[in-house]
Amino acid sequence: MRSPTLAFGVVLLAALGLLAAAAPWIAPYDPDEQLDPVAAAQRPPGTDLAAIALRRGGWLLADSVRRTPGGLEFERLGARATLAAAEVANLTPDGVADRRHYLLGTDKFGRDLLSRLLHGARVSLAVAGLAVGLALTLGIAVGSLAALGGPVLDAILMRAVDALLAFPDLFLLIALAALFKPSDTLLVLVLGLISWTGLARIVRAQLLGLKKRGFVLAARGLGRSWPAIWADHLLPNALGPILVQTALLAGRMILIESALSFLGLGIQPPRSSWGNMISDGQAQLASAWWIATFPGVALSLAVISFHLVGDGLRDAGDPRLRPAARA
Amino acid sequence: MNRHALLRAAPPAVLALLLAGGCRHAAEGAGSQASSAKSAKPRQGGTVAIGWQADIAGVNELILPSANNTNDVLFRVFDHLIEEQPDFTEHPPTMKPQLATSWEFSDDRKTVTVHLQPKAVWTDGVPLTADDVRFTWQAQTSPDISWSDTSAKQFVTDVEVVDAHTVRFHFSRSYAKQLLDLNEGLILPKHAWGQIPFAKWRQSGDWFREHLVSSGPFKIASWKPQQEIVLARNERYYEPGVPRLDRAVLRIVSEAPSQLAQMQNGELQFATNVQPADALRIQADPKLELRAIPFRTYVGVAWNNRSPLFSDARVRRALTLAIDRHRIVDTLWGPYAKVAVSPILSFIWAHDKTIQPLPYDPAQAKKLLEESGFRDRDGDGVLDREGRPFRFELLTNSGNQQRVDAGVMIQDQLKQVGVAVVPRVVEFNALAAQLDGGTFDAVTIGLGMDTSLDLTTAFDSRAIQDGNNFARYAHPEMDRLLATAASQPDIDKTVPILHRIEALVQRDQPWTYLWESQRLMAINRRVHDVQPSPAFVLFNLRSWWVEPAGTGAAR
Amino acid sequence: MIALLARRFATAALLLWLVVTAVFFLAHAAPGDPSFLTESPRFSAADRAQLRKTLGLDRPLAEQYALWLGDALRGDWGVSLAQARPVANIVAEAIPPTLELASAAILIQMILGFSLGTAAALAHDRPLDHAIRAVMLVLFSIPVFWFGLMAILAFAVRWPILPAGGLSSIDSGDLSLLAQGADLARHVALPAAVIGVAQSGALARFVRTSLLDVLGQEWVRMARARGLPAWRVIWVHAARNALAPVLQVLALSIPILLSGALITEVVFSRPGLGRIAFVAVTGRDYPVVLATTAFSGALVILANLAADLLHAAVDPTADVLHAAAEPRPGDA
Repeated sequence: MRSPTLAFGVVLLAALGLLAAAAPWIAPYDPDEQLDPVAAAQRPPGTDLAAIALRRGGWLLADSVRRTPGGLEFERLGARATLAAAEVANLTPDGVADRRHYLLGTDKFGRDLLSRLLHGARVSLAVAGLAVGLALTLGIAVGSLAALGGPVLDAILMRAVDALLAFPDLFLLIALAALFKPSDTLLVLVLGLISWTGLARIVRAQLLGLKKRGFVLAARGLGRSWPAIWADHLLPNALGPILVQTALLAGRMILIESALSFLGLGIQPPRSSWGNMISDGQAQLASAWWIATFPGVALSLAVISFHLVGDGLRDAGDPRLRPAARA
Repeated sequence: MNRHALLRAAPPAVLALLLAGGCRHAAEGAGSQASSAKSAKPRQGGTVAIGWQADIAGVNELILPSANNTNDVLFRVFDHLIEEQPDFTEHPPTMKPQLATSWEFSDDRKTVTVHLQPKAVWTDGVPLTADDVRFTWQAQTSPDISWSDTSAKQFVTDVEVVDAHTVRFHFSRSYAKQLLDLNEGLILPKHAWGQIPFAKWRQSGDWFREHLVSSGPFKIASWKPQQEIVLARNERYYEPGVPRLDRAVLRIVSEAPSQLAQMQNGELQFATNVQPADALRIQADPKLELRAIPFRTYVGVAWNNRSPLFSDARVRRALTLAIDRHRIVDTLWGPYAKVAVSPILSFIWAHDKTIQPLPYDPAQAKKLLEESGFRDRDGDGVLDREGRPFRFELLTNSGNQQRVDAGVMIQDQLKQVGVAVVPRVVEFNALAAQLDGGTFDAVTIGLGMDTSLDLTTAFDSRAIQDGNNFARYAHPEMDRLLATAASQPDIDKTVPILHRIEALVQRDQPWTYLWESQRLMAINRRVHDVQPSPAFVLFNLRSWWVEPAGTGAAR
Repeated sequence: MIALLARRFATAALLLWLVVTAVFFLAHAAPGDPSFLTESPRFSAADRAQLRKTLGLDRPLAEQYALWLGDALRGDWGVSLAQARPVANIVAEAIPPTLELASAAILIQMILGFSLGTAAALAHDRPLDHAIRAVMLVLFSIPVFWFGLMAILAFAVRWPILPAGGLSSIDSGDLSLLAQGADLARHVALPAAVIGVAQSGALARFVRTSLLDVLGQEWVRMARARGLPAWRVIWVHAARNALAPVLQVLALSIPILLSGALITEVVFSRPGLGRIAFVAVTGRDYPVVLATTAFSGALVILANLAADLLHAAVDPTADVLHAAAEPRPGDA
């Protein structure tokens, strides 16, 4: 891994993946928790509130609390109020036992943005990962069939690729998502189905080139079957460009998933994805900038890391761009 | 929505996709005419720029899907025979002459004679006569046109031209909403639009636009699709001094934040789409006034009463008790909505004001659910009965943020009593198809209410097949009450029946009512006498007037 | 050559037919239909049946398809079900705003993409190159709609110097022609910049790579060794050779541009093809859905064709007929 680009990309990606994987353990709060929406909604980053547990059930979030002889005095929504000791479930000698610290602020239901961001990362990355997996499978299968299956099959398959490419893909996605009930499965299917075409072309071009190379002709001469040659020689040698393409595709999947969720057609509330968090924040852009801003930053970072990996892999595999080959 | 009927007449249900408004104290909202006008004397002339959410679909209402944003504009460009007034908080709405100067019922109430305004002329100078009224009825009932409100005319057997300024409506029966049905629909120009056959109307949206002849206080001076509609004073209008404005420019600006920005920089003087979250910013701006008008839509969760989960009234009651409606209203609307209790909006004269919302009481809810057999037998935190978990999809339409948000909050609240909700946002048209077919569990939806207070299409058992009884509520007593109310010609006598209907709804909870909201608007203080009605923002556009820029108001 | 071209065009037509046919059946397979559009509370099942009959929606799907296709081939795109007016007029009204947005965006993309890409290539492996590459990477990676929101937050809310949406100001018709132009430009500036800047990353990357390729070749190094000034080498020799692939990238960015325009039109409330398509899909206005898909599909197919022809123009050995099957710069 001599390329600093690649190294940086891999580290960034690993960090994001780790955060997403560990979200249930490292997220400070339940991402869906709505303790006291009226008092906690749209708090800016860094807000710190006292959480009063009520004996009759439910919570109150207060800007400040003060222990009094009879119970608790607190300030909530700009007004002072008191509670008797018997009404509070988590009373301590100097206040209440629970606090809520909103590092990145809260959304309109008073949910913790950081927790939602971390859990959203799981959703966004998982959807992108599954979609890429699907695209990879389809792309390699169709590309290989086209390259090895004879001219007629090749022509048919490549026309199908052209037809799919003729759709502006976001438009197709919007149509599909609007026409059918949105679900995660549909999302993965649709994302995967529209994005395998580039891969199929690359695989085909690689295999067509490799087919004429000496070692393949030799293997053929030894009487080995095409499937065996495909598995032992063709695919391994084509792997570099495929990996580059896969990394770039992953970045694109994240972008498209977020665009769909932004339009309300992807991941459905109450679950968070980076796209629907940005969409949530759009209406409050003027009054609560943080809601749309942080998920956008996270999203950009993820896409950047995938692109870094893709670029790094390509540079590593492209002799023209190696330092030694430079003029 | 149907023309005035919405606001006045009764029915039921409009899948309102538009935003809902609501109010904490509806009566106060209904009367909310605000304050600004006292300073100066009304002035003729001037222009007001209005932020309008969606373009009008065309100029001929008979060939367009009924939509509030289109109707509100066309109702200023064409006149009705009669105009219902939004004064229904204490008594039934009064009916004000428009193209009709007076009308009288025959003794058997099956014939209504209408006298037309003799000074009324079309914008091209041709007099408006009884022929136009008859032609309009013919178009409204033509199967080639399939007007979406054609059923308003189902009991009208003929519209007879008595003389140039007198028409006689013949009905096949006498009933409560006769006058409203008679009045349904704008009067259209026979001499202009009669030139093409009805069979061609559905393809001729552009032709009508190019041959636009109208009779209302304003005319459409120009229309750039998706950008702006310029309404200009109709100099030939029969009522002197009306309208006061020279022009009203409707700018198509769909997003609330953009409308707000354009209000603040002075590009717009009236914003029709204001989110509760932005109310404070408007109140903080000395140039602007915030206006909250009760919206004639109630929003709630309609439980599919035919689904095994919700067929037991105890279960529906338990769900209402477990949903903290006050918290939902406070979070989503702040002070601009109140918890709804009934299909008859709380600011309407006939509403039984003694009905209180059921309390928020999760403990009682759990008890009721247990009584009806729901218990968490497998310890997974979700109640179950006969091996089936209490889990369902709560649908709503996309594009309405408050309804989507309500789903998120209800999911969280019902989780506390062991009921698993999967909120799902469905694109509007697909949702409508599901509601029609009954293939859903529960839906958060709004229904429009007009002042005829005819709840038949919302609760009659026949309206399950053919109407807006989404909850699929069926009860013989309800059917009987609805039929009695609909055939009672004297609307005052229907009040006790309506109260009984409200009591049934309160008892059986076919819906869990969530809110009645207010519609928020922002007005530049230079603009005076703006009085939107619960159905139409531009209701009294003819009376608006504006101080010249630079005088008076702060800036 | 002519025969090959003809075959490519025939293939393009076939593709377009496949696309619209797929859309036709897809749209009709979705739940709901235009008769659900009305907000009228008294619209009954019988009324709905009558309306479907009037609109011809009660006929067998195959018949509706045959009718539609026959009309479309004769140039009649039908009548919008929501607006009761010819679809052709609706699409025609929506093209100028989208064209205005797309061309302004392409202009910004080209200016930025070429200058950044050239500067980076010339500064190869020096700090400036690295800095530009980092910027390009970021531009290439941020989501367009979020970029749009941030731009509104910055330039329309925080420092309100540009309008947040719309096509023109009120009363702009009363202004002089020059002022009208300026007004239009002000309104298109923010959305076009959002798309153009976001897209320039990809172009700049490609310009840089192509130039580096050319600069590394023997004859360029010879030219420089002969003492030709650097700008002359770049603009006269290298750029000319790098131009075709770059144009190819531009042609291939048209579909991306269309997608970008769609979502940007939604964010900035600009009426345009993307917005009317979005509204038509949600309202099941089938004729408008079909016309907009056919239009954008045709645009994309033509752009792909142009890219392939450009490719052939640079590399005469390329197989024009099957060029479409080769990986393109845009694939990566």
